[in-house]
Amino acid sequence: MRASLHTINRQLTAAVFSLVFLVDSSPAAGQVPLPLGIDRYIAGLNLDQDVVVNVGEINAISVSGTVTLTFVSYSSGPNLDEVVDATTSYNVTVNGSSKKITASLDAEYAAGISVSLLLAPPGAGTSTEKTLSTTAQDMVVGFEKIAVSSLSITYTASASITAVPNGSGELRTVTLTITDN
Amino acid sequence: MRLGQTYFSWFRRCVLHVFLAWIAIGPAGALAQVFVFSGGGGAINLSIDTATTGSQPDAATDNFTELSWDADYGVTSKISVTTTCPSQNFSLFVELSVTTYGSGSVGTEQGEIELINGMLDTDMLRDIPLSSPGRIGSGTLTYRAVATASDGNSNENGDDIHTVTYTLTAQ
Repeated sequence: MRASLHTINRQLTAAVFSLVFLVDSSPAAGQVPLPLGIDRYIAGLNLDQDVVVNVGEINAISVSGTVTLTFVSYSSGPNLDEVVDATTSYNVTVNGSSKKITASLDAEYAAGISVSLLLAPPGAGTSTEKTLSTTAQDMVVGFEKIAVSSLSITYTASASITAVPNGSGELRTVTLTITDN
Repeated sequence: MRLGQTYFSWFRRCVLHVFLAWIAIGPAGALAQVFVFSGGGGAINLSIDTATTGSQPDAATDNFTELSWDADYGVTSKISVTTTCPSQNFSLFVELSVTTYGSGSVGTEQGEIELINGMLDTDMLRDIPLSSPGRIGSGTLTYRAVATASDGNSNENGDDIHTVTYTLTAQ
């Protein structure tokens, strides 16, 4: 009987020791290696979510203001003195590769009158001054992936002395278009 | 002696069974954590396709996902995030804003976090209280996708496909 009680006492001691050991291995001691079976005590719960980011191709351009070009003087030669205007500007945002800007008029000017256009290039683009017509022409080529504002627009109007006075003027719309190079 | 042996055998079986039961179900049974999507939770598509001319493309956002938790760890706990997105080209951010919580401290929100492929687990909410009801709460996930003009577009680069993983764990 005495031996049995001694054995029971040993078992109780072992059980108490086990419980104390387990309690001491609390999640707060997460950095301490835990006995087998206790690891899930501190294991995290996970949730997964798929998130897709899609970026569409953006080709955006805008211009500021309206320009009035008025011939007011004559110095010499076959033409009136040129009229230059650089009061307007344009903004552009493109996120694709190899772009260009074309320009065209909605209608030609009267005989003897012409308007040329020069655009400041965005980024690494290359600009060329050209006389505007109803046929689209490349004004800036070779730019890409850029967002920039307040780029200068320069109009230069020319008229020969043979041009007929046109009263309040001829209203034309210049269209700038971004396309692939 | 026979009585003692019988008693010992019975007691030993009891201790063994209790111990095994504790190992098997004790921790999970005593501490039952909950971590679920309580709103949304499905795949999210964020599309960037507009820009104010002259400015960078407009960001895309989504805030239709809600997390709920019961951080029953017996200790202060936290929520962290990571992502996997091979060939990532664009920027993605997420923020957890706690909307409801049991009582006392809301925990410490960590603000907006940028999700970068292969990032380490990054804390979104720390110091979630250990006791009920403070350990119980929910919050809104706000995603924000950003792409600069120089990042290009999906036609040329393909979409970014993230698998975002949130983890509730002891802090």
